[in-house]
Amino acid sequence: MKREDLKVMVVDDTAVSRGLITQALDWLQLGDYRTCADGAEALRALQAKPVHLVISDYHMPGLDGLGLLEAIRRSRGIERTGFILVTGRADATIVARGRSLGMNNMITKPFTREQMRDCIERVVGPL
Amino acid sequence: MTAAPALRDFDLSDADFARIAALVRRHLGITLADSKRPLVYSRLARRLRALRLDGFSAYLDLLASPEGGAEREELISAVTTNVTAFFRESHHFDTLRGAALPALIDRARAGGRVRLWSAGCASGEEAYSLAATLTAACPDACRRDIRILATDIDRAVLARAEAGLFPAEAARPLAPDLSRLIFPRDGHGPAGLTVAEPLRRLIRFRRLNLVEPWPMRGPFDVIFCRNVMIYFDRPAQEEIWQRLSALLAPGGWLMIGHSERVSGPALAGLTVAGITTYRKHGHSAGEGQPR
Repeated sequence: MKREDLKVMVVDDTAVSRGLITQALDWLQLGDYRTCADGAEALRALQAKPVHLVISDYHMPGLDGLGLLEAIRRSRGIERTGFILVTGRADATIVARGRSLGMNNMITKPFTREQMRDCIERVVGPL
Repeated sequence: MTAAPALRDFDLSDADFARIAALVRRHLGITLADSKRPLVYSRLARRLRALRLDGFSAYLDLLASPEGGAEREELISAVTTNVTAFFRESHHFDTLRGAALPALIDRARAGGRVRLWSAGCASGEEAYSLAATLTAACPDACRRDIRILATDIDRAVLARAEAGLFPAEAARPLAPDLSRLIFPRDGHGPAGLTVAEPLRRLIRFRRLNLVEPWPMRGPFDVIFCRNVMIYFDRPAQEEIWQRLSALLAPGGWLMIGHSERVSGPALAGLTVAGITTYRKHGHSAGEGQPR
């Protein structure tokens, strides 16, 4: 996949965290991304306009990251979307639930842009 | 897989199983049916032995204690690791490597088409094992016209299979060279192990209900359809065996589960070629002779 063709959705309820993710995407020259501050809203946006990859925070009010993942996997047409979970710590319960829901990868905060690149490449292949 | 003799050292009471099931449901949202009890028993009995505990009550107390965090992780792995392991019923992969692949690889390297099918792939271990066997025998496999189709009826489990993300324990039973091939170092992360990209590129995951019409025309050179037929009644089984056989290339291989037998009209076109291993009649010249 060419980096300019990769469509990404960033979901995080805090502006600072969203910014840290999108800064890494900018550095990676992944220009085709959208952001969303809310899990449920992200799901509707994805159904209306699918992406290749979702990068979502775990802790969000309402629909959390794993809830969003589960909803995506159950949603016809977008169920194969790549999904990276962003979380404060790699809690075993979250990891196991994520894997069983078909999470593609996970990254723990804080992350460097190189770590974000490696994390994304493990899902979509070399950029 | 070598199974240790069943050491029934411990007693898993109804109450203890219910407590474990409640814990798993609370933490993972997974319901442990009573049919999972032998599995839970065998996996957790191993933990009890490792921890030198004298019973499940002591184990549950440990899980509930503040020091139980690491063990809760073990419990989660024990109950979420799918039963389908990598290289399950490994003799089929030995047959594949020794008898089936040499001719198929020759064909692929001469520009020919080679197709394998993992029918009922669940979380993908079988398909990735096929990809690893292929890649070990033919490192250039991903540049040839070789594809593995992996199908399952369950979309959720397909998403999991396609993600190719496995807990660290999945690699433990693997020989070191296979482990490196399937899970190279750069695939080790906080979420587990990611299957190597060249292996993933060989596989197409698709949703398919075996009792409905199939969109594929075939032919397939190798079909693994193991421990899937147990879900169907006898007439449906016979029909599916027949349809599988019809999609096999002449000399093509069909591997089935250890407790299964091909029955019905399909038998007329197949020859027994080993334990739960069949071949389609009509070998083409030089094709797949056992070596």
